[in-house]
Amino acid sequence: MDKKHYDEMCSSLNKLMTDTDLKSKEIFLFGHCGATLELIDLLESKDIKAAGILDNSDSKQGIVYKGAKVYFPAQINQMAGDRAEEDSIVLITSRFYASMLSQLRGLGYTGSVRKLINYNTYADYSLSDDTIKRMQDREQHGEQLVEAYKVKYADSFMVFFPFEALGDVYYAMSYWREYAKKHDIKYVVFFVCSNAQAEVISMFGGYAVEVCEQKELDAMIQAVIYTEDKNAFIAHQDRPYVVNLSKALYIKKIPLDKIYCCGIFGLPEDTKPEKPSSIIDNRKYDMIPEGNAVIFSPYAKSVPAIDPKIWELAVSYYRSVGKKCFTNVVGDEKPLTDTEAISPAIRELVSVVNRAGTFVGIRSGLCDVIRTSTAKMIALYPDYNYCDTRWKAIDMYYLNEFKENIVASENIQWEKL
Amino acid sequence: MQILQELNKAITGKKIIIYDLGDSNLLASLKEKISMFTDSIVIWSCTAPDKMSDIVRCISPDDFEQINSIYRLYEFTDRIIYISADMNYPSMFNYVNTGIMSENEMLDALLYNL
Repeated sequence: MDKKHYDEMCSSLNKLMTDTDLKSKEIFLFGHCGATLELIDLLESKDIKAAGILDNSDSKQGIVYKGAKVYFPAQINQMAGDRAEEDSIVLITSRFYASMLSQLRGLGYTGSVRKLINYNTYADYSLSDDTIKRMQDREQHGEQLVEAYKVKYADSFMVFFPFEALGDVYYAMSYWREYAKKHDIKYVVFFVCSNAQAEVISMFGGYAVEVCEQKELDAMIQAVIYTEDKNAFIAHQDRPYVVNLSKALYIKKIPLDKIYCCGIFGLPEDTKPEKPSSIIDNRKYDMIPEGNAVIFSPYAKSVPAIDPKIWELAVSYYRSVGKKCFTNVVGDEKPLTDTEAISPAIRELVSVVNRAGTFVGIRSGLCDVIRTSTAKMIALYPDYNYCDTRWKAIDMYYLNEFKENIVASENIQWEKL
Repeated sequence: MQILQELNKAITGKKIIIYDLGDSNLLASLKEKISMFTDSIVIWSCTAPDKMSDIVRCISPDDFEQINSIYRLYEFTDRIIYISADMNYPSMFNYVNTGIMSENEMLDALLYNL
């Protein structure tokens, strides 16, 4: 989870605790995902225990995290008991809040259901006049923004990336040129919601990019859907609600690369992905001993965290064989113990990793960004399923360019990698 | 807005597939699958060749446009599935057209767990 959403979750929880005695309630969290696990950590830091996690997925039943076991939502009434309204609460950090709330009410659950993060501005499960009016206002605001950009970028095709993820943008850019060729698109402007995403786009050439606030981006995306704007395209596999590509994964395992090539862009399966051409080789990193250092990347925005003990073991091993260790950090992230912080720009990462010689990182979008590096690269995967499918993250995100793709555990024999 | 009220009422009982394609063969396959596996889904379409059945409800183009319009405005439910060939966002038809999955698999995916 990114810092902005984490802060929002903390603030919502603090606010909730001022009017609700959470310690006296059975707390259920809906959706076994990274954000839910982070919420359990946060609750634990406040000496509050979650009673359970609700999840519709068969494959997640029985998983336990810090004492909170995964149950089917249909079991909630039985677990919450007769006094559900007074004695229990469901907390939601998922973008599927509206759907989850609807399911719980459909099951007859009468307890409080609270959203701690407003991930999804597209959804409101109501057809009341007020809701429709609010959504019409939002769409019209989006249209106005789109029109303003059409003036600024006359004759340009508009591509929207709805979600703040580096890997999604990297995959999309790998196939953009072929898509543009197929549809005879000469000029394009990309819309993203973070500077890091804009940097990823710049790795593929000097494209026009606009970095927008998430709410503004959502409003523009809704507007191009509403107006059926043929001069715009939304490049994502499962956002917003109109995109159904991810449902294919219930039936078939499709690696992320093919999701982008074939599913999103409709290109033939054998289309060759473009490699980034604009990479900066910055000499200021000469404190990295050439070929004798390790760059660790333990942080990721939308991936469950890896046990700190595993990072400790990795750092300990590499230091014991004389490697100088660095941690790639952004903002207020802390370097791993016994490593130095390093914060290269996105376009510098490949050269920095090349110089170090070894990279060990949690599988995140950053691993995509450095795929073309010639260093020895190791990707660590938390043991979780991709969305609500039966496929493990390691199956979906496997990187051929990496020497090792491993599910993170304390049993990794670093000396053998 | 009559049709939206009907839709709102209908989705409390069944899931609804809004079928916005002219392809009658695909519609026939979809009907067949639904009739084999579930009675909790109905198809609403303005292009269905047969007027009414237990599975397909044929609605007027004006009513269809109202539903279409509200669907494009926001996500008001997770109890409808929209099958169309919009061009400004990706759809599972791309998988079929590129040979990643068959049309039969696509329908199975659309109907999964409904």
